[in-house]
Formats: sequence, C-alpha cells, structure tokens
Amino acid sequence: MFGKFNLAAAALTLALFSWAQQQGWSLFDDVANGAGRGGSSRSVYHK
Amino acid sequence: MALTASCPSCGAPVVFQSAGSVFAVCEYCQSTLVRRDQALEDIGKMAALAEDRSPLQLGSEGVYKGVHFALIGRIQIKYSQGLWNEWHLLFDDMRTGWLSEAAGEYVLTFLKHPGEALPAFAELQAGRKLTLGGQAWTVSNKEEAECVAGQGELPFKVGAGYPLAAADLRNGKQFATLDYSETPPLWFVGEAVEFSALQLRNLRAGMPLPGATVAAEVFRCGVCGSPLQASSPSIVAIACRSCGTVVDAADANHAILSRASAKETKQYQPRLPLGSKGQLDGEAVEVIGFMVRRTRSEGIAYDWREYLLAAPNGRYRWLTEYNHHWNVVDVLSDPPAGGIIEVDSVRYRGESFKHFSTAQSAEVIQVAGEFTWRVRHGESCRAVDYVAPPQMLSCELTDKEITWSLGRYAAADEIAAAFALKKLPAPLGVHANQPNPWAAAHRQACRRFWRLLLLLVALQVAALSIFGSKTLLRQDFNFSQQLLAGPESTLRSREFTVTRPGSRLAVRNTTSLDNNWLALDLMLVNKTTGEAWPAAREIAYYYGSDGGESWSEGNREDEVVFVDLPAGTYYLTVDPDLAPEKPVPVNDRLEVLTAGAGWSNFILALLFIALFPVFSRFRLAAFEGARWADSDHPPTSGGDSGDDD
Repeated sequence: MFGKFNLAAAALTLALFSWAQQQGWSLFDDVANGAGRGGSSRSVYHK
Repeated sequence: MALTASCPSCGAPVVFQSAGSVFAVCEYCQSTLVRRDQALEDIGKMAALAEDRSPLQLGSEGVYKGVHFALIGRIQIKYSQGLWNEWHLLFDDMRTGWLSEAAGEYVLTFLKHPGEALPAFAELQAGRKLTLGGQAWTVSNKEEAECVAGQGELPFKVGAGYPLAAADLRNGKQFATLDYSETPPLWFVGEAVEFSALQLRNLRAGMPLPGATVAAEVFRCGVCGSPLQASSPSIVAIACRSCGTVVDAADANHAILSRASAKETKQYQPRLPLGSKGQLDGEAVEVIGFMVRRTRSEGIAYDWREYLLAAPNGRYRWLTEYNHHWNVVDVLSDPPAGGIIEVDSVRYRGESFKHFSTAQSAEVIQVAGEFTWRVRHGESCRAVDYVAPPQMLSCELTDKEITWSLGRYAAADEIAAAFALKKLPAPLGVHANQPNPWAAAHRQACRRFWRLLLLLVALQVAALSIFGSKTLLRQDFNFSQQLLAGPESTLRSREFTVTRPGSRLAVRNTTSLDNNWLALDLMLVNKTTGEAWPAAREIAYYYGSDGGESWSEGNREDEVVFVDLPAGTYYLTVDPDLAPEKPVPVNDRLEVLTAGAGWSNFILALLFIALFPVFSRFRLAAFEGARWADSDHPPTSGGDSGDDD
C-alpha cells in the first residue's frame, strides 16, 4: 500500500515538475498583482 | 590378534579382541575378569545391566570415515536424565574409540593426550570457556554419574556404583569429554554423529531404531490413574494431563518426578492441543508436549507457552508462544563457538545477533504430555536471548548444562495454516525477533528515492536546456530629478513580441543605487488591445559599517513576473520616483525575459520525493523502539537500537 502510494505520488510529482518547468512557474516568483505604488507586497526599509 | 582364554568361574571362552582391553565380563556367568598375561582373574560378579531400549549390542558393526568397527564392550551409566551407554569400539586399523549413546543422540570420540594439565572437575561449570589441545571449548554439560554395569571388553575396571564425573565440551560440531573417573582425567575428542551415517548392522532384534515409528508404550498415571503414553524411546518424562504429575517414562516402575497442584495443572490451556498434527516447514509434526514457563522482572510475571513437536526421523522441534507471537525453535547441535554466554552480540552462521534480554530464572510452572528430558515443576534455568529478526538465538543455562537453540518468528497465520486452525489471536505488541514490517518498505522507498532523484536531475537538465529563459528586451534608462520635473516623466520602452499565449514574463531592473532608493510604477501594455498590467516596485540598497563591522541591506536588483499574457506586441511604461533627500541620478537596466525553467521546482520536487523515505524511516524507528523497549537495552531518548540501512 505504502509502496503503491509512493509510486503514484512520485509519478504525479514528476509530471507536475515537468509541467511547471515547461510553464516557467516558480514558487518564488514575485508576481505582479496590479497594485499601485505603495500597495506592493514588498516592503522596503529606508534608513 | 585376538586372545581367547577360559573363564575361571564357568570355563566359557572369553575373547579379548583388542590388545588394549584388560577387563572383561563373561557373557555366560557375568564374572568380572581381569587379564593378567595369558590368565584371567575373577574378581567377582558384575551387576546386571539395566533394561534399556538401545538398538545396539555387543557384536554390532558399523563404519566411521570409511573404517569398519565393531562394538566390543559397554559401560552403562546412570545420570540425572536416565541411562547412557558408552560403547567400546574396535576399528579394523586397531584403533579403539567410544560411541556415546544418550537420549537418542550419538557421539563418537577417541582418547587423546591433551599435552597439558586438565582443569579440576570442581572448576568446571556449564558455559565456561576453555582452551584445550589448542582449541577453544565451551562446557556444555557437567554430570556426576554412576556406573550401573559393564559388558564385554573394556580398557579399565568398572563396576556397579563406580562414580563417574564427566564434563562435555563443544566447539561447533566438535565434541569432547573430560572423564574424571581416573587420575589424571581422560580426554576424549570427537564429534556428534548421525545413527544412520554409521551404517550399523547386527543390531539388537526388536529394538526401535532412532527416528523409527514405534508403537506407543501406554501405562497409567501413578497418582490419578489416567492413561499416559510414551510415543518414542527417547521420551523420558511424561506429564499427566489430568493431575500434572510428571513420571519417569524410562524407569521400569514409572517413578514420580514431580507433582503439581490443581491450579498449576489447569492455569493455561494449550492453544495447540496435545496430539495436534500439522505441517511445519514442509514436514509433518505432532504436538506431544506442552509447557508453560515463567520469568519475573521487577515483580511482574511473564509467562510463555512452549510446545514440543515430534518431527520425522526422530527429531524434535519447539513452538513457543508469547503474547500470541510464535517462534519455531530448533535445539542446536552446533552452537556458537567460543564460549559466548552473555555478550553484546553473537555471530552465528554469518548473522550478527544482538543481546536482547537475560532472564535470571525461567521456571517451569505447568507441564503436560511427553518430554525428552526429565522435566520437573519448578525447575529453572537462566535464559539469554539474542535477536537478528526474524531469528532469535537463545541460550539456556543451568549449573550442569548449557543448551543453545535457534528460533524463527512465525506469523500467527502461518501457525494457524500449519495446524489447520481457523484463526489464532492477533499478536500483542512487538516481539523480540518480530520482523520489522517497515524494513522492506523503507529499503524500497530508499531505492526508489535514488532512482527518482536521478530521473529528476535528468529532467531538470533537459528543462534548463529546452525551457531556459530568453531575453526579449534590454534597455538602459537614466533617472534624474530633472527628468522627473519635466513634462515627459513617464518613459516608454521599445516594443517586443510575445509569441506564445499564456506566457509569463519576468521584468528585471538592475540599478546603480548607492545608499538610496528608487520607486518604479511599471505598466506592461499590449500594443494591439491596449490591455495593461501594472506593477509598483520599490528598490533600495544601503550599506555601511557599524563598529568596524560592514553591513548592507536591500538589493540593487528587482524582478517582477507578469503571468497569463496573451500573444502580441508589448511595451513597458516606467514612471520613476527618486528619493528627494538624495537627488542623484540613478542608472537602470530594464530587461524583459520569458520566464523559463528554474531551480525552485526542482527543490520542491526533491523535497516531496524525499518525504517517503523519511516517513518510512520514522515508522521503522518507531517499531524498533517498541521492540527494544521490552529488552534489557531500552532506547534512552526517541532513538532506536535496531538496524537500519
């Protein structure tokens, strides 16, 4: 059972990985969210 | 050259076949005769031999290692487990030897000169390690026996009541005996032999051969009158199922060895009733004995059941049952060499066994059926267990004897199938040598992980080469206060083309910020449709030193990703804002790239496929923790003492 689940999950992982690489998808992408200035999700510390 | 003389008592011819024989018993009048040159001296009558069921007799012949021998004499000895015979052998090459016959086991030895002083009998104890004749030995048995009678030709004088102190030593299959009936003691070395391998003939008529099926001897219990039976000549004790009395099956009067109370007799019912027949490891077996043993630890009693099984060819096996966990056990004729008794680990048949537990006293609390030794209620031994799942190596020690056995864990379903039972109770907890069900799954998960990793690396290499990012635009800007103050403060990039619908574009700004910040309002515009995607960015980079230690904060670079873009021609508008407190121009390189294959997906996939071996490793360790929790070496903190790959 564990082995079969492992195999199925591994196959799914590789398929998702291939698709994500082909799409250029990245978990760490800072995606433009359409907010105006100051509404960005990024905050910057100013000295 | 045989010497023939007349018996001084009855005149019958007495033949000395061996030159080494100095003592004989006249087979007609039982006179004890001592050879003095050509004459014989009668020194009295020899006691009668006790009736036994040995298939051997004077005149029986056999072959050992290709050399023919004949049985020319015999000493019958009484010891704690009954009678044993020492048959005096004369080989065709004029060597003499001894064939020991006890409880259906045969050992052939020859007298040797050890070339060194032998230890005193009092110094020996079962389990003690010795080096004699350049070999390591372990004392396996120590007996203070007594001669019953002699027969035929013998190399020394014997007689009824003659004391015989002896110790048996083992080293694997090799066997030795130290005989303390003479001074200095005698040293015999040889090996255990199979009865059938000796090709014996001229055997005693009507006696069962070892391993042969014979009609059971039936008699009645001397206490309650219930019928008892001994199904084989090697059965020496029978425990009455009704009253628990243990009687001596080898004794003509069936002497009582021990009695039991009604509570002791009925406390446990055998899961496999006496007489149950089954198929174990492909051979037919029958349950002939049932025994319950108990050990105590910190005031808690731990009881387990043992079943004696009669197997083909006169062999016996054991089944043990504890908390519904089963083991198929065989007594070892080739125990671990080297006198190991209680150490961290024992190497046996290429396997390393770890010490699991030592029970200082494993006591017999209930018996029923037939046994191959004189079992008694209350008898106890020290039991040392070593495990290498699914195997368990056990050593049982008394003052006189050391016995090694090898057990194999058997699933309850296997035992149920072997004895055609519907179902046996499910095992409780984890047994000492129970195979770890996660071991195979963990090995498989580890193997699969490495294969998947290889595949993942190959896919990543392929993705980087096929789906790598491409630069669509690279343009340099210079932002200054003058530009911001002017009418055209919003800048526009050159146009670029997106060919694939649903694309992701990364817009990267690389600036020359120096303890400064820059705000950018970006707008990605589809030239054809006018559709626009805004993004507000703030880029800051500061650095310096504080107390002699340099520091930096922020980044001169920034990247933002636009997703789900239709195909078309695009351009970017850039509306910059500079820090009013530091009005210096800032250079910016604007780059637009197609978002290609990166490393984050690789890391994510790697972590995901690693989850399975990590999970199975935790389950494996949890099982081992449960196993060793009941041992003399419980895990100290979360870790496990078991094996792992």
